[in-house]
Amino acid sequence: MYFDHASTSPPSDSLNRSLYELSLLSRYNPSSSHKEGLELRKRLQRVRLQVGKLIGAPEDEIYFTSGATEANNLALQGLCFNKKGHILSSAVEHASIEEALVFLESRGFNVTRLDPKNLTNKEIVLDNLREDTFMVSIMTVQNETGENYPLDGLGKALSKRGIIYHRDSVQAFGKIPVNVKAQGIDLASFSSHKLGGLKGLGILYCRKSLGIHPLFFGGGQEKGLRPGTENTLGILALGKVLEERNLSSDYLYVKDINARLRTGFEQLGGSLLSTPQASPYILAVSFPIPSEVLLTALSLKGVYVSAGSACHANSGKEARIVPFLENKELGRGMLRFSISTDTSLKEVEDMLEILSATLKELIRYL
Amino acid sequence: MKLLLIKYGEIGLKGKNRHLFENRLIQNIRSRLKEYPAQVKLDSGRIYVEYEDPEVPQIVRDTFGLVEVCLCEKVPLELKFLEDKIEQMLQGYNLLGKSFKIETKRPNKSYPRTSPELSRYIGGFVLSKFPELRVDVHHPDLLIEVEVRESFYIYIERYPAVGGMPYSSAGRAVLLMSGGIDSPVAGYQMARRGTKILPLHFHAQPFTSLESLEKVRNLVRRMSYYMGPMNFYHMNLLESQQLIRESCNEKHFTILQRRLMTKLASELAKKEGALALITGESLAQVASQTMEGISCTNNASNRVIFRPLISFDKEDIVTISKAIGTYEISILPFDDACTVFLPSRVETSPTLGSILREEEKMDLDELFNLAWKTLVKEKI
Repeated sequence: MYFDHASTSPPSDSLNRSLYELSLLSRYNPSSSHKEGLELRKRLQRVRLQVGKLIGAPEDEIYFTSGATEANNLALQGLCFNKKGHILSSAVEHASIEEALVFLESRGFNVTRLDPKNLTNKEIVLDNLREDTFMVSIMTVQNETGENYPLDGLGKALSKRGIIYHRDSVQAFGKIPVNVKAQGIDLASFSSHKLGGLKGLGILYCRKSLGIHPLFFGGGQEKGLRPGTENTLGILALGKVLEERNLSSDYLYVKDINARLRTGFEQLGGSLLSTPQASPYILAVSFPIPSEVLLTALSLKGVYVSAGSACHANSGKEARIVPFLENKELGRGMLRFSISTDTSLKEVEDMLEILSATLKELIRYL
Repeated sequence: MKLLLIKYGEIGLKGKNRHLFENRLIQNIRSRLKEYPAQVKLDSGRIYVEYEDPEVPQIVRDTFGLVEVCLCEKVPLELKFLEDKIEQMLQGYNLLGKSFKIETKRPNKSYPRTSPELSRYIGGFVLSKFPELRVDVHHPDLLIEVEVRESFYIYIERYPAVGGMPYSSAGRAVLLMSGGIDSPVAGYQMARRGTKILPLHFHAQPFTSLESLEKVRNLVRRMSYYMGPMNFYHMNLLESQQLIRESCNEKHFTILQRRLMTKLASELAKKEGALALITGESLAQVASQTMEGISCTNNASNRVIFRPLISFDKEDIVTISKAIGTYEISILPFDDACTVFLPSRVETSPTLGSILREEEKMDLDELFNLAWKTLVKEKI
């Protein structure tokens, strides 16, 4: 019973069955000048177009990378090249943003990390801008709780001030409507495998004339922003995934599953940590058992989730959102359940049964 | 084909049982070199290894029971070949200002020249080819050894080997293994003296993680480089811990648990024909390892408990741990004791009487069986 789609969403049977054919279709080098190369290049363009359509951007502003981590780093470090000043971000970003920010701080940039409470209000974000702010990077959907930060109107306001707006939209891609032009977003990062595509492929949407400096150099692919032979199999696989998805009907289905999870968890004494406005694809919940213990116990019974915390004996990592929870104690028992359109109601019922039995077993030790 | 000459240490002293140790040693070397096209031969009390792969000398050096490994050359029994080979071997060295000595042994009595004659002859030859060298029979920089058998065997480069006694020549013992730095080192120390090791690990899943069990497996895997394929045993102590927590005074929890682990290890030892237990205890290292604490634990077994690290400083243990390649694995942050359950204070001077009184509060058979029934044996 797999409830860890926010970590990775396994490719569907249908995609897995197509891989042989896709591998054949993707086997040449799209930079070659012969017929096969050109043919493949056209196929890749089609996927670019599909991605662009999904996020409201033209295909020539879509760049393929090795993953969202690279896309995030390309956006941040690429923009900061030869600049100075202040970056406004949040305290709950994914590690690939946070670590890049730490690096940039060591290079002399100033960074403000907003409390997530302030991310529902664009005015507070604007209040935190400084004279020397040149970039704002705030994730669209928080990966640990699914919390949504629409920040409508922020993009436009930033654009007026000439501030670049980047959004790590990995958990939103194909799940929550994203329109980068309408939202005034200049840069956005996405990941293929979070949507059921293959690993090793990410996307950076980058508005024209932004002046992003590449992280490395080579044969000129992706207009020189991200050289290197493309992950052709990954890209064609993503194309297939996008063909089979329908954002709105998928959303409705997942919302129902999420609702069942919510009532189920509450009945078992869980405290829901994700608000009703959060993405239905992610549900964070806290039980009165230490995260990693419940995670191990569930794992031994075939239920796979993520933990929001680990006791110090086990590398002591804590979800970034924990210090900002209403009730910080709940962080100790935080689990993240994340679903996809492949998650069936039956799977949910089976999981709830196992969870119920496991909670009863473990509570006697505490 | 390259050649190694192997020298072993204490086995040479074993008298009538010498051939048993030799056979075990040769068997062990052959086992360790299973994946390589190498030959191990015994010839007039010397062990030779014929090999191709550059990894072989290190593997041989890491075989318990060997004291020294020499890179050896073999040439037909004619002086011309001997001279050419020695000249070739010496060319690899920077000889300026160095001294040398020739030592000859002649097990092949049918060879016409005697050892002293041969030494003098070769010595003269070396001086003529390499006038920058001088002779020093007391403290030579280069000791050139020549053995006269069915061929000439020549060796100059010697490498210390790991020492000890052939693995598995001294009997078996159950090693109580945590995922920490100490227990693999304790196991290694005893293995080096010829003890076949049966590692036993206690966890408390799900209160301990899957990763921490895997970490211990990786430690055993690393140990198996020295000890060959091993059986790895583990048990779940969670229910037993719960019984102790429910019945006994919190401050004695650690000692009570250690006594239980000792009893379980003893039972395993009995079943597997092991006469001893091994722990990584080091005096005064942690709260439970005071003399009183160790005495209380000791009492729980009728088997001898070897504690090879009892007198070692932590630093000494870490040094060995790094040398044998277990340190990097041991320090990974997957501990086998979730902090949820550790008592807030540990009794450092328990008396046996008070511990036994605590134990009376429980059904000891039940305490034992709750853990024993979870025993799993894996092959590593």
